[in-house]
Amino acid sequence: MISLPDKFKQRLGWILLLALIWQLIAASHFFSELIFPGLDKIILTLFTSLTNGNLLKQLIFSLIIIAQGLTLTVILALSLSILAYFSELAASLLETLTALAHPLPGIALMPLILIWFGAGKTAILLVIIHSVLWPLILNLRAGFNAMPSIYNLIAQNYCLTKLEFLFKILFPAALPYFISGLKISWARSWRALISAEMLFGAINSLGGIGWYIFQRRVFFDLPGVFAGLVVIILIGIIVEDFIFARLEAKTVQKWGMSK
Amino acid sequence: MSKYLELKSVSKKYQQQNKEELVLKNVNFSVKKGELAAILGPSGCGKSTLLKLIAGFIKTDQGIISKEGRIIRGPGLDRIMLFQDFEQLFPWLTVLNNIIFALKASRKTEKNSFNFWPGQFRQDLKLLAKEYLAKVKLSQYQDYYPHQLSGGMKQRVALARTLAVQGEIMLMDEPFASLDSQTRQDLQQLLSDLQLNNSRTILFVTHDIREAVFLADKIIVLKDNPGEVISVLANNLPYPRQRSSEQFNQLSEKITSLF
Repeated sequence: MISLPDKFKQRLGWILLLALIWQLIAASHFFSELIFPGLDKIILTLFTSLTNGNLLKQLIFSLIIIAQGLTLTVILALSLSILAYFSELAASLLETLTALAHPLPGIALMPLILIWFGAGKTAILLVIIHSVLWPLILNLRAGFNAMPSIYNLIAQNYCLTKLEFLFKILFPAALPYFISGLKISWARSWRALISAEMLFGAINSLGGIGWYIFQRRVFFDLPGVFAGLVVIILIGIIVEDFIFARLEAKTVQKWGMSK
Repeated sequence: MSKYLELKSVSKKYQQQNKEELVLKNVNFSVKKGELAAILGPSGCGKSTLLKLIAGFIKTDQGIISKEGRIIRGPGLDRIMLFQDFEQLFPWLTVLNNIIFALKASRKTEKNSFNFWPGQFRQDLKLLAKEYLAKVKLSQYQDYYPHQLSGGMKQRVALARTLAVQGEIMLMDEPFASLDSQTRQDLQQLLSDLQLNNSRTILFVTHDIREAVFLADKIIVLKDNPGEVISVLANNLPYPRQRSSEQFNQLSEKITSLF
Protein backbone atom coordinates (compact mmCIF):
# COMPACT_ATOMS: atom_id res chain seq x y z
CA MET A 1 0.00 0.00 0.00
CA ILE A 2 1.41 3.33 -1.03
CA SER A 3 1.27 5.83 1.76
CA LEU A 4 0.02 9.14 0.50
CA PRO A 5 0.73 12.50 2.12
CA ASP A 6 -2.16 13.90 4.18
CA LYS A 7 -2.80 16.62 1.62
CA PHE A 8 -3.52 14.00 -1.02
CA LYS A 9 -5.64 11.88 1.29
CA GLN A 10 -7.78 14.90 2.09
CA ARG A 11 -8.04 15.83 -1.54
CA LEU A 12 -8.99 12.32 -2.51
CA GLY A 13 -11.67 12.36 0.18
CA TRP A 14 -13.19 15.57 -1.15
CA ILE A 15 -13.14 14.30 -4.71
CA LEU A 16 -14.95 11.10 -3.70
CA LEU A 17 -17.55 13.10 -1.79
CA LEU A 18 -18.14 15.46 -4.72
CA ALA A 19 -18.40 12.51 -7.09
CA LEU A 20 -20.94 10.90 -4.80
CA ILE A 21 -23.07 14.08 -4.70
CA TRP A 22 -22.82 14.32 -8.47
CA GLN A 23 -23.92 10.75 -8.90
CA LEU A 24 -26.86 11.23 -6.51
CA ILE A 25 -28.06 14.28 -8.42
CA ALA A 26 -27.75 12.40 -11.70
CA ALA A 27 -29.56 9.37 -10.30
CA SER A 28 -32.42 11.51 -8.92
CA HIS A 29 -33.33 12.43 -12.55
CA PHE A 30 -34.07 15.95 -11.34
CA PHE A 31 -32.33 17.11 -14.51
CA SER A 32 -32.65 15.39 -17.82
CA GLU A 33 -30.02 12.76 -18.35
CA LEU A 34 -29.13 14.56 -21.58
CA ILE A 35 -27.81 17.62 -19.76
CA PHE A 36 -26.67 16.03 -16.49
CA PRO A 37 -25.10 12.66 -17.27
CA GLY A 38 -23.98 10.32 -14.52
CA LEU A 39 -20.35 9.66 -13.82
CA ASP A 40 -20.67 6.14 -15.17
CA LYS A 41 -21.68 7.53 -18.56
CA ILE A 42 -18.91 10.12 -18.50
CA ILE A 43 -16.25 7.57 -17.62
CA LEU A 44 -17.57 5.13 -20.22
CA THR A 45 -17.46 7.83 -22.89
CA LEU A 46 -13.98 8.83 -21.80
CA PHE A 47 -12.86 5.24 -22.06
CA THR A 48 -14.38 4.64 -25.50
CA SER A 49 -13.12 7.97 -26.81
CA LEU A 50 -9.63 7.11 -25.67
CA THR A 51 -9.65 3.58 -27.05
CA ASN A 52 -11.84 3.75 -30.13
CA GLY A 53 -12.04 7.44 -30.90
CA ASN A 54 -9.48 10.04 -31.63
CA LEU A 55 -9.30 11.63 -28.17
CA LEU A 56 -5.83 10.32 -27.47
CA LYS A 57 -4.48 11.62 -30.78
CA GLN A 58 -6.22 14.93 -30.24
CA LEU A 59 -4.78 15.16 -26.76
CA ILE A 60 -1.27 14.41 -27.97
CA PHE A 61 -1.73 16.95 -30.72
CA SER A 62 -2.67 19.60 -28.15
CA LEU A 63 0.16 18.71 -25.79
CA ILE A 64 2.70 18.89 -28.59
CA ILE A 65 1.51 22.37 -29.53
CA ILE A 66 1.72 23.45 -25.89
CA ALA A 67 5.21 22.00 -25.56
CA GLN A 68 6.33 23.79 -28.71
CA GLY A 69 4.72 27.03 -27.63
CA LEU A 70 6.21 26.89 -24.16
CA THR A 71 9.68 26.01 -25.42
CA LEU A 72 9.66 28.86 -27.89
CA THR A 73 8.33 31.27 -25.30
CA VAL A 74 10.86 30.27 -22.65
CA ILE A 75 13.71 30.83 -25.10
CA LEU A 76 12.23 34.15 -26.19
CA ALA A 77 11.50 35.32 -22.64
CA LEU A 78 14.96 34.35 -21.40
CA SER A 79 16.69 36.12 -24.27
CA LEU A 80 14.67 39.29 -23.87
CA SER A 81 15.01 39.34 -20.09
CA ILE A 82 18.76 38.82 -20.27
CA LEU A 83 19.06 41.56 -22.86
CA ALA A 84 17.08 43.87 -20.59
CA TYR A 85 19.25 42.88 -17.63
CA PHE A 86 22.39 44.08 -19.33
CA SER A 87 21.03 47.02 -21.33
CA GLU A 88 18.93 49.84 -19.90
CA LEU A 89 17.72 50.78 -23.36
CA ALA A 90 16.47 47.27 -24.00
CA ALA A 91 14.91 47.25 -20.54
CA SER A 92 12.87 50.37 -21.19
CA LEU A 93 11.72 49.04 -24.56
CA LEU A 94 10.76 45.72 -23.01
CA GLU A 95 8.92 47.46 -20.19
CA THR A 96 6.93 49.48 -22.69
CA LEU A 97 6.10 46.41 -24.77
CA THR A 98 5.05 44.48 -21.68
CA ALA A 99 2.88 47.33 -20.47
CA LEU A 100 1.14 47.49 -23.87
CA ALA A 101 0.77 43.79 -24.58
CA HIS A 102 0.31 42.20 -21.16
CA PRO A 103 -3.24 43.51 -20.58
CA LEU A 104 -4.41 42.17 -23.95
CA PRO A 105 -6.17 38.82 -23.56
CA GLY A 106 -5.03 36.32 -26.15
CA ILE A 107 -8.60 35.78 -27.26
CA ALA A 108 -8.91 39.45 -28.22
CA LEU A 109 -6.09 38.98 -30.70
CA MET A 110 -7.58 35.92 -32.34
CA PRO A 111 -9.60 37.67 -35.08
CA LEU A 112 -6.50 39.60 -36.08
CA ILE A 113 -4.30 36.51 -36.03
CA LEU A 114 -6.93 34.68 -38.07
CA ILE A 115 -6.77 37.34 -40.77
CA TRP A 116 -3.02 37.70 -40.78
CA PHE A 117 -1.96 34.09 -40.42
CA GLY A 118 -5.04 32.01 -41.22
CA ALA A 119 -6.40 29.28 -38.99
CA GLY A 120 -3.30 27.14 -38.90
CA LYS A 121 -0.95 25.82 -36.31
CA THR A 122 1.02 29.07 -36.51
CA ALA A 123 -2.05 30.93 -35.33
CA ILE A 124 -2.49 28.73 -32.28
CA LEU A 125 1.21 28.96 -31.47
CA LEU A 126 1.05 32.75 -31.71
CA VAL A 127 -1.89 32.90 -29.33
CA ILE A 128 -0.04 30.68 -26.86
CA ILE A 129 3.16 32.69 -27.13
CA HIS A 130 1.31 35.93 -26.58
CA SER A 131 -0.53 34.57 -23.54
CA VAL A 132 2.63 33.22 -21.94
CA LEU A 133 5.44 35.52 -22.97
CA TRP A 134 4.55 38.62 -20.96
CA PRO A 135 3.86 37.03 -17.58
CA LEU A 136 7.00 34.95 -17.99
CA ILE A 137 9.07 38.04 -18.77
CA LEU A 138 7.62 39.82 -15.76
CA ASN A 139 8.53 36.90 -13.51
CA LEU A 140 12.00 36.45 -14.94
CA ARG A 141 12.83 40.12 -14.63
CA ALA A 142 11.52 40.16 -11.07
CA GLY A 143 13.77 37.17 -10.37
CA PHE A 144 16.82 38.82 -11.91
CA ASN A 145 16.18 42.00 -9.97
CA ALA A 146 15.69 40.11 -6.72
CA MET A 147 19.18 38.60 -6.94
CA PRO A 148 21.15 39.74 -3.88
CA SER A 149 23.52 42.50 -4.95
CA ILE A 150 26.34 40.77 -3.11
CA TYR A 151 26.44 38.17 -5.92
CA ASN A 152 27.47 40.95 -8.28
CA LEU A 153 30.44 41.74 -6.08
CA ILE A 154 31.33 38.06 -5.81
CA ALA A 155 31.14 37.67 -9.60
CA GLN A 156 33.47 40.67 -9.98
CA ASN A 157 35.81 39.46 -7.29
CA TYR A 158 36.04 35.94 -8.70
CA CYS A 159 36.55 37.40 -12.18
CA LEU A 160 33.63 35.59 -13.78
CA THR A 161 32.82 36.29 -17.40
CA LYS A 162 29.31 37.48 -18.27
CA LEU A 163 28.41 33.99 -19.47
CA GLU A 164 29.67 32.35 -16.28
CA PHE A 165 27.77 34.93 -14.26
CA LEU A 166 24.60 34.07 -16.18
CA PHE A 167 24.79 30.32 -15.78
CA LYS A 168 26.53 30.02 -12.44
CA ILE A 169 24.78 32.80 -10.55
CA LEU A 170 21.94 34.70 -12.20
CA PHE A 171 19.90 31.71 -13.45
CA PRO A 172 20.02 29.64 -10.28
CA ALA A 173 19.36 32.75 -8.20
CA ALA A 174 16.26 33.52 -10.28
CA LEU A 175 15.04 29.92 -10.43
CA PRO A 176 12.21 30.32 -7.86
CA TYR A 177 10.77 33.13 -9.97
CA PHE A 178 11.33 31.18 -13.15
CA ILE A 179 9.42 28.19 -11.82
CA SER A 180 6.48 30.26 -10.64
CA GLY A 181 6.53 31.96 -14.04
CA LEU A 182 6.43 28.54 -15.68
CA LYS A 183 3.43 27.55 -13.59
CA ILE A 184 1.54 30.64 -14.68
CA SER A 185 2.69 29.99 -18.24
CA TRP A 186 1.46 26.44 -18.17
CA ALA A 187 -2.00 27.44 -16.93
CA ARG A 188 -2.30 30.27 -19.42
CA SER A 189 -1.09 28.19 -22.35
CA TRP A 190 -3.86 25.65 -21.73
CA ARG A 191 -6.44 28.40 -21.72
CA ALA A 192 -5.04 29.96 -24.86
CA LEU A 193 -4.81 26.64 -26.63
CA ILE A 194 -8.34 25.53 -25.88
CA SER A 195 -9.95 28.80 -26.81
CA ALA A 196 -7.88 28.98 -29.98
CA GLU A 197 -8.81 25.44 -30.97
CA MET A 198 -12.47 26.12 -30.44
CA LEU A 199 -12.34 29.31 -32.44
CA PHE A 200 -10.13 28.10 -35.27
CA GLY A 201 -11.69 24.66 -35.61
CA ALA A 202 -9.86 21.53 -36.58
CA ILE A 203 -6.64 22.77 -38.08
CA ASN A 204 -5.62 19.38 -39.27
CA SER A 205 -8.16 16.64 -39.89
CA LEU A 206 -8.42 15.93 -36.17
CA GLY A 207 -7.82 19.06 -34.15
CA GLY A 208 -6.96 19.01 -30.49
CA ILE A 209 -8.67 18.55 -27.16
CA GLY A 210 -10.43 21.91 -27.43
CA TRP A 211 -11.90 20.90 -30.73
CA TYR A 212 -12.96 17.57 -29.25
CA ILE A 213 -15.01 19.32 -26.56
CA PHE A 214 -16.47 21.73 -29.09
CA GLN A 215 -17.52 18.91 -31.40
CA ARG A 216 -19.12 16.93 -28.57
CA ARG A 217 -21.27 20.00 -27.87
CA VAL A 218 -22.33 20.15 -31.50
CA PHE A 219 -23.49 16.54 -31.26
CA PHE A 220 -25.13 17.30 -27.91
CA ASP A 221 -22.95 14.59 -26.44
CA LEU A 222 -22.73 15.89 -22.86
CA PRO A 223 -20.89 12.85 -21.48
CA GLY A 224 -18.29 13.58 -24.20
CA VAL A 225 -18.06 17.25 -23.17
CA PHE A 226 -17.51 16.20 -19.56
CA ALA A 227 -15.00 13.55 -20.62
CA GLY A 228 -12.98 16.29 -22.32
CA LEU A 229 -13.11 18.39 -19.17
CA VAL A 230 -12.02 15.46 -17.03
CA VAL A 231 -9.01 14.92 -19.28
CA ILE A 232 -8.01 18.55 -18.89
CA ILE A 233 -8.41 18.38 -15.11
CA LEU A 234 -6.36 15.18 -14.92
CA ILE A 235 -3.55 16.65 -16.96
CA GLY A 236 -3.61 19.78 -14.83
CA ILE A 237 -3.27 17.68 -11.68
CA ILE A 238 -0.48 15.57 -13.14
CA VAL A 239 1.52 18.58 -14.26
CA GLU A 240 0.92 20.58 -11.07
CA ASP A 241 1.32 17.86 -8.47
CA PHE A 242 3.88 15.66 -10.11
CA ILE A 243 6.00 17.62 -12.56
CA PHE A 244 6.07 21.02 -10.87
CA ALA A 245 5.95 19.70 -7.32
CA ARG A 246 8.84 17.37 -8.07
CA LEU A 247 10.80 20.08 -9.82
CA GLU A 248 10.38 22.35 -6.81
CA ALA A 249 11.24 19.61 -4.33
CA LYS A 250 14.45 18.87 -6.20
CA THR A 251 15.51 22.49 -6.52
CA VAL A 252 14.18 25.51 -4.69
CA GLN A 253 12.76 23.58 -1.73
CA LYS A 254 15.93 21.59 -1.26
CA TRP A 255 17.91 24.81 -1.44
CA GLY A 256 15.68 26.69 0.98
CA MET A 257 14.81 29.19 -1.73
CA SER A 258 11.04 28.72 -1.97
CA LYS A 259 9.31 32.04 -2.24
CA MET B 1 58.81 44.58 0.97
CA SER B 2 57.89 47.02 3.71
CA LYS B 3 55.23 48.64 1.57
CA TYR B 4 53.33 45.74 0.10
CA LEU B 5 49.91 47.33 0.01
CA GLU B 6 49.95 51.08 0.05
CA LEU B 7 47.27 53.78 0.16
CA LYS B 8 48.36 57.31 -0.68
CA SER B 9 46.07 60.29 0.08
CA VAL B 10 42.96 58.35 -0.83
CA SER B 11 39.67 60.26 -0.86
CA LYS B 12 36.22 59.08 -1.79
CA LYS B 13 32.98 61.01 -2.18
CA TYR B 14 29.45 59.69 -2.54
CA GLN B 15 26.68 61.54 -4.32
CA GLN B 16 23.68 61.89 -2.07
CA GLN B 17 20.69 63.75 -3.50
CA ASN B 18 22.47 66.68 -5.14
CA LYS B 19 25.05 67.02 -2.39
CA GLU B 20 28.39 65.33 -2.15
CA GLU B 21 29.39 63.55 0.98
CA LEU B 22 33.02 63.01 1.74
CA VAL B 23 33.35 59.47 3.03
CA LEU B 24 37.11 59.10 3.14
CA LYS B 25 39.51 62.00 3.44
CA ASN B 26 43.20 61.76 2.71
CA VAL B 27 43.72 58.21 3.92
CA ASN B 28 47.34 57.07 4.08
CA PHE B 29 48.64 53.76 5.35
CA SER B 30 50.58 50.77 4.25
CA VAL B 31 50.44 47.11 5.12
CA LYS B 32 53.33 44.67 5.06
CA LYS B 33 53.19 41.33 3.37
CA GLY B 34 51.86 38.69 5.75
CA GLU B 35 50.45 41.23 8.15
CA LEU B 36 46.97 41.09 9.63
CA ALA B 37 45.85 44.70 9.74
CA ALA B 38 42.61 45.64 11.45
CA ILE B 39 40.77 48.67 10.16
CA LEU B 40 38.91 49.86 13.21
CA GLY B 41 36.30 52.57 13.45
CA PRO B 42 32.71 53.43 14.31
CA SER B 43 29.96 52.58 11.85
CA GLY B 44 29.77 55.08 9.01
CA CYS B 45 33.48 55.93 9.10
CA GLY B 46 33.94 54.56 5.59
CA LYS B 47 35.87 51.46 6.57
CA SER B 48 33.77 49.23 4.32
CA THR B 49 34.20 51.75 1.52
CA LEU B 50 37.93 51.50 2.09
CA LEU B 51 37.80 47.75 1.64
CA LYS B 52 35.70 48.08 -1.52
CA LEU B 53 38.28 50.49 -2.92
CA ILE B 54 41.09 48.03 -2.24
CA ALA B 55 39.00 45.19 -3.71
CA GLY B 56 38.61 47.35 -6.82
CA PHE B 57 34.80 47.33 -6.75
CA ILE B 58 34.79 51.13 -6.73
CA LYS B 59 37.30 53.80 -7.74
CA THR B 60 39.01 56.46 -5.69
CA ASP B 61 38.25 60.11 -6.34
CA GLN B 62 41.74 61.09 -5.33
CA GLY B 63 44.87 59.26 -4.38
CA ILE B 64 46.17 55.88 -5.36
CA ILE B 65 46.10 52.36 -4.01
CA SER B 66 48.94 50.12 -5.03
CA LYS B 67 50.06 46.58 -4.45
CA GLU B 68 53.77 45.89 -4.82
CA GLY B 69 54.11 49.21 -6.57
CA ARG B 70 51.39 48.50 -9.13
CA ILE B 71 48.25 50.59 -9.03
CA ILE B 72 45.03 48.68 -8.39
CA ARG B 73 42.51 49.40 -11.11
CA GLY B 74 39.84 46.76 -10.70
CA PRO B 75 38.76 43.60 -8.93
CA GLY B 76 41.05 40.58 -8.98
CA LEU B 77 41.49 37.14 -7.53
CA ASP B 78 44.60 38.32 -5.70
CA ARG B 79 42.35 40.32 -3.35
CA ILE B 80 39.47 38.19 -2.24
CA MET B 81 36.63 39.51 -0.12
CA LEU B 82 34.88 37.88 2.81
CA PHE B 83 31.59 39.62 3.54
CA GLN B 84 29.51 40.04 6.66
CA ASP B 85 26.36 38.98 4.84
CA PHE B 86 25.29 35.35 5.37
CA GLU B 87 23.86 35.51 1.84
CA GLN B 88 27.32 35.37 0.32
CA LEU B 89 27.10 31.58 0.00
CA PHE B 90 25.10 30.29 -2.96
CA PRO B 91 22.02 28.52 -1.60
CA TRP B 92 21.79 26.22 -4.62
CA LEU B 93 25.23 24.72 -4.02
CA THR B 94 26.17 22.36 -1.21
CA VAL B 95 28.81 23.47 1.25
CA LEU B 96 31.46 21.54 -0.66
CA ASN B 97 30.32 22.85 -4.04
CA ASN B 98 30.43 26.41 -2.75
CA ILE B 99 34.11 25.89 -2.07
CA ILE B 100 34.64 24.12 -5.39
CA PHE B 101 33.09 27.14 -7.07
CA ALA B 102 35.92 29.26 -5.69
CA LEU B 103 38.55 26.67 -6.59
CA LYS B 104 37.33 26.56 -10.18
CA ALA B 105 37.15 30.32 -10.47
CA SER B 106 40.66 30.77 -9.17
CA ARG B 107 42.17 28.01 -11.28
CA LYS B 108 40.56 29.13 -14.47
CA THR B 109 42.92 29.74 -17.34
CA GLU B 110 41.96 30.95 -20.75
CA LYS B 111 42.35 27.50 -22.21
CA ASN B 112 40.56 25.72 -19.44
CA SER B 113 37.07 27.10 -19.47
CA PHE B 114 35.08 27.29 -16.27
CA ASN B 115 32.55 24.66 -17.22
CA PHE B 116 34.53 21.82 -18.68
CA TRP B 117 36.94 19.93 -16.49
CA PRO B 118 38.51 16.56 -16.95
CA GLY B 119 37.28 13.94 -14.47
CA GLN B 120 40.59 13.64 -12.67
CA PHE B 121 40.72 17.36 -12.17
CA ARG B 122 37.26 17.30 -10.62
CA GLN B 123 38.42 14.69 -8.14
CA ASP B 124 41.44 16.79 -7.26
CA LEU B 125 39.26 19.82 -6.72
CA LYS B 126 36.96 17.84 -4.48
CA LEU B 127 39.85 16.65 -2.33
CA LEU B 128 41.23 20.15 -2.14
CA ALA B 129 37.82 21.55 -1.16
CA LYS B 130 37.56 18.94 1.58
CA GLU B 131 40.91 20.08 2.95
CA TYR B 132 39.68 23.65 3.20
CA LEU B 133 36.47 22.50 4.82
CA ALA B 134 38.50 20.55 7.36
CA LYS B 135 40.40 23.73 8.19
CA VAL B 136 37.21 25.39 9.33
CA LYS B 137 36.14 22.18 11.12
CA LEU B 138 33.03 21.51 9.08
CA SER B 139 33.98 18.29 7.28
CA GLN B 140 30.84 16.47 8.34
CA TYR B 141 28.66 19.17 6.77
CA GLN B 142 30.02 18.96 3.23
CA ASP B 143 26.74 17.86 1.68
CA TYR B 144 24.53 20.30 3.55
CA TYR B 145 22.96 23.27 1.84
CA PRO B 146 23.64 26.72 3.30
CA HIS B 147 20.08 27.18 4.57
CA GLN B 148 20.59 24.17 6.84
CA LEU B 149 23.51 25.84 8.62
CA SER B 150 23.66 28.34 11.46
CA GLY B 151 25.06 31.81 10.89
CA GLY B 152 28.40 30.89 12.42
CA MET B 153 28.71 27.80 10.23
CA LYS B 154 27.84 29.81 7.13
CA GLN B 155 30.63 32.24 7.92
CA ARG B 156 33.02 29.34 8.42
CA VAL B 157 32.13 28.00 4.97
CA ALA B 158 32.52 31.48 3.53
CA LEU B 159 35.93 31.69 5.20
CA ALA B 160 36.90 28.33 3.68
CA ARG B 161 35.71 29.52 0.29
CA THR B 162 37.77 32.68 0.58
CA LEU B 163 40.82 30.68 1.66
CA ALA B 164 40.35 28.30 -1.27
CA VAL B 165 40.94 31.07 -3.79
CA GLN B 166 44.45 31.45 -2.39
CA GLY B 167 44.46 35.15 -3.04
CA GLU B 168 47.47 36.89 -1.56
CA ILE B 169 45.27 39.42 0.18
CA MET B 170 42.10 38.62 2.10
CA LEU B 171 39.71 41.46 2.67
CA MET B 172 37.37 40.77 5.56
CA ASP B 173 34.43 43.10 5.95
CA GLU B 174 33.21 42.58 9.52
CA PRO B 175 32.73 38.87 8.82
CA PHE B 176 31.79 38.02 12.40
CA ALA B 177 29.73 41.09 13.28
CA SER B 178 26.33 39.42 12.83
CA LEU B 179 27.14 36.50 15.11
CA ASP B 180 26.38 36.06 18.78
CA SER B 181 29.32 36.81 21.05
CA GLN B 182 30.24 33.19 21.82
CA THR B 183 30.25 32.18 18.14
CA ARG B 184 32.14 35.35 17.29
CA GLN B 185 34.88 34.45 19.77
CA ASP B 186 35.02 30.90 18.39
CA LEU B 187 35.54 32.24 14.89
CA GLN B 188 38.12 34.76 16.03
CA GLN B 189 39.98 31.89 17.68
CA LEU B 190 39.68 29.83 14.49
CA LEU B 191 41.03 32.64 12.35
CA SER B 192 43.86 33.16 14.78
CA ASP B 193 44.64 29.42 14.90
CA LEU B 194 44.81 29.23 11.11
CA GLN B 195 47.97 31.34 11.34
CA LEU B 196 47.37 32.72 7.94
CA ASN B 197 49.86 35.50 8.44
CA ASN B 198 52.61 33.34 7.03
CA SER B 199 51.06 33.14 3.61
CA ARG B 200 48.37 35.79 3.44
CA THR B 201 47.97 39.44 4.05
CA ILE B 202 44.70 40.24 5.75
CA LEU B 203 42.75 43.46 6.07
CA PHE B 204 40.11 42.98 8.69
CA VAL B 205 37.45 45.64 9.05
CA THR B 206 35.74 45.81 12.43
CA HIS B 207 34.08 48.18 14.86
CA ASP B 208 34.93 45.90 17.77
CA ILE B 209 38.06 47.11 19.57
CA ARG B 210 38.67 43.83 21.38
CA GLU B 211 38.32 41.88 18.16
CA ALA B 212 40.98 44.08 16.58
CA VAL B 213 43.30 43.65 19.58
CA PHE B 214 42.78 39.89 19.57
CA LEU B 215 43.49 39.39 15.87
CA ALA B 216 45.62 42.12 14.43
CA ASP B 217 49.33 42.80 14.10
CA LYS B 218 48.55 46.36 13.17
CA ILE B 219 45.50 48.42 14.02
CA ILE B 220 44.50 51.30 11.79
CA VAL B 221 42.06 53.51 13.67
CA LEU B 222 39.57 55.62 11.73
CA LYS B 223 37.21 58.36 12.86
CA ASP B 224 33.96 59.22 11.11
CA ASN B 225 32.56 62.27 9.28
CA PRO B 226 34.66 62.20 7.18
CA GLY B 227 36.60 58.98 7.53
CA GLU B 228 40.20 59.75 8.42
CA VAL B 229 43.02 57.71 9.88
CA ILE B 230 43.66 58.99 13.38
CA SER B 231 46.19 56.45 14.51
CA VAL B 232 48.13 53.40 13.39
CA LEU B 233 49.19 51.13 16.22
CA ALA B 234 51.42 48.10 16.21
CA ASN B 235 50.06 45.22 18.24
CA ASN B 236 52.90 43.10 19.54
CA LEU B 237 50.96 41.10 22.12
CA PRO B 238 52.27 37.53 22.20
CA TYR B 239 50.23 34.58 20.97
CA PRO B 240 48.08 32.94 22.14
CA ARG B 241 46.39 36.15 23.14
CA GLN B 242 44.43 36.16 26.36
CA ARG B 243 41.42 38.45 26.43
CA SER B 244 41.68 38.69 30.20
CA SER B 245 45.38 39.60 30.31
CA GLU B 246 46.49 42.98 31.57
CA GLN B 247 48.32 43.91 28.38
CA PHE B 248 45.27 43.05 26.34
CA ASN B 249 43.08 45.32 28.39
CA GLN B 250 45.66 48.10 28.43
CA LEU B 251 45.82 48.17 24.64
CA SER B 252 42.02 48.08 24.40
CA GLU B 253 41.77 50.98 26.84
CA LYS B 254 44.35 52.92 24.89
CA ILE B 255 42.37 52.55 21.71
CA THR B 256 39.09 53.41 23.42
CA SER B 257 40.61 56.67 24.59
CA LEU B 258 41.37 57.62 20.97
CA PHE B 259 37.68 58.09 20.14
